[in-house]
Amino acid sequence: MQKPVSSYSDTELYALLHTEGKEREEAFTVLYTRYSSRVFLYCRCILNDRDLVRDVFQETWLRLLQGAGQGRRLENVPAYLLRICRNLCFDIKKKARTRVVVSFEDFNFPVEDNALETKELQTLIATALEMLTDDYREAFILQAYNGLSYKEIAEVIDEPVSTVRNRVVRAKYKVREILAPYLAGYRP
Amino acid sequence: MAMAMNNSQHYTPSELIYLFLDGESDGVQQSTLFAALAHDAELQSEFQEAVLVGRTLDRVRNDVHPPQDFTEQVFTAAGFTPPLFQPAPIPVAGKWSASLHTIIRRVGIPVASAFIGALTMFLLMNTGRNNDIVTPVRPVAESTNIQHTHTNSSNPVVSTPTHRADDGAANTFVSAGSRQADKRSSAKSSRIASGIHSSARDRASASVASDGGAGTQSTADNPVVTLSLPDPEPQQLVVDAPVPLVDQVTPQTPAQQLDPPAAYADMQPIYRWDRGGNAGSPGVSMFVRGIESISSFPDRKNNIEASGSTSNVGFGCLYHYSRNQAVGMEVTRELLPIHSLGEGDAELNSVLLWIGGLWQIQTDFPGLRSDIQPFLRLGLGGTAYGPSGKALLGIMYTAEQRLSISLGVETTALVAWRNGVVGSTEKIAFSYGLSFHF
Repeated sequence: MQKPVSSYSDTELYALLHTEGKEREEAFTVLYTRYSSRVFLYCRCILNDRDLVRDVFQETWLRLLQGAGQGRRLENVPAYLLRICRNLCFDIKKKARTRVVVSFEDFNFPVEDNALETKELQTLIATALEMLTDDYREAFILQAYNGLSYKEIAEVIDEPVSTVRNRVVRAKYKVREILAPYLAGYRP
Repeated sequence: MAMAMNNSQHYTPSELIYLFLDGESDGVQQSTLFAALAHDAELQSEFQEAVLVGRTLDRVRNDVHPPQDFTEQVFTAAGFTPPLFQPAPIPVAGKWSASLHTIIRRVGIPVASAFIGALTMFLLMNTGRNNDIVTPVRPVAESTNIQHTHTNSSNPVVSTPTHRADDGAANTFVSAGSRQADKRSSAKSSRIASGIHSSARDRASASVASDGGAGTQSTADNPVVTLSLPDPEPQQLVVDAPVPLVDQVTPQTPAQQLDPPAAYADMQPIYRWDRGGNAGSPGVSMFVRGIESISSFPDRKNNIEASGSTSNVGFGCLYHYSRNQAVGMEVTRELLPIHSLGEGDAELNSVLLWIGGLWQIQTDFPGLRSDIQPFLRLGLGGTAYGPSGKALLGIMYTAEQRLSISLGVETTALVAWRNGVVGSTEKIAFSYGLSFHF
């Protein structure tokens, strides 16, 4: 009895993208379901324009399909997706020649059924992220919002793990420092 | 290799917290961290804050999904059929319990607070009733003669000789017993009976016999009132009681009062005032009002922009149990900034749902037109964050019998409980509204 496509590993699903027919579409849908949030979150945090986010988000998934067409084996699909997304984001930032600033007002994630405290804290964290350098902010986003391990982040940004570790830890420490006056009221 | 690099790095205990929470610390780093945590209270607080931030980030990671139009665009561009994007499935039990928790959190506290408020208002209503309502005929121990007589068709109103009341100097006593006397004194009796509610007036007849009715012992100087009730049949209860003029009521002490007989149970109370217009008179009114924040204090900033104009609206209803007092309930949606007490005083400009019970008193005011009345409305209720009280002082203009306009100043106090910290909000605002009376 054949197991459902949804239970396939990422590598198996990526391999199915090289095939034709219904399985390819199913494999793509499952991968999209698994990782679209991560890709979207990364785009959303790095870029500040909805249209730009839309374009990069779409291009990322299309490039995944194109890459699968070459028939090569891929072990870490989410890292690969985020690397594509990251390169696209940085291309846009280079073209713009300006630092993309995450807007305070425009940083509200569409989180449903969220407590007021959580929403407020999200806004505070987003504000604190604005004050970080690009390197630190990216490391923070990839670790905190995308849930990648230090090793996976190192793969995505093509830097040593020790560098990633330093960036993540220092970014989090700086965020906490910035939020410290506010966090007193939230202490559990 | 990675471990070697780990160990080669020097991190402060604060930084080790994040390595530990990210699951990237080794044994040595964990030992260092735990040793520091054991005797450093500040580091413990830092650890708690890091956990809190981590939880918030987890929420974002788990709950954020790309918009549906993004999904459709990707699938269309890829040549696939756009699916209805399904986020990670939520276990049914978890979904239900989460919904239940949300309902309890958002509605439970306001409803519980409102219940307490409504109960308080109900008790206030019953306390105030005795002082405001005049019972038309109340047997008094030493001046009342109650006698049951048989009623027949030829003499529907039977009056037996009654005694003279001795305390009638300030009151007018009349006697009843004959239709003749009833006719002669119809004008005066109607004056007295005008204060009786229609249901009681339909069943009771009062007559005046200033020259003494048949079978009575009253005199012109001391007329006596006789009220006779056709019910219960076949016996009729005739009460010769001093009925004070409406404007000359002197509250009786409990010692002077008797329990009213069962036959009086269905009689309705007389309301002291009978000025025209429905506004404020017994009945029900519904109101809608706007709340415009002036300031919250002390030393707090009120972010008006945080709430749209529709965020400061209240709806409610009032039951006017007397001419000048009412109880009811209200639901408002308004900006109530919440402040944490203590270090790092954080402000949360939140638009909250407020539900509470109301008690209102209004009265004529010397020098004002009769259709303009000052009023005081007290509210006791709560929000999802804790109990809250309101006091609204204003004036009400009864433009038309069923419509009145109010304007006033409202103060609100909210005690908020947030993450184990007690906070407070004090707010002052303009209130303007419309009331519809039924």
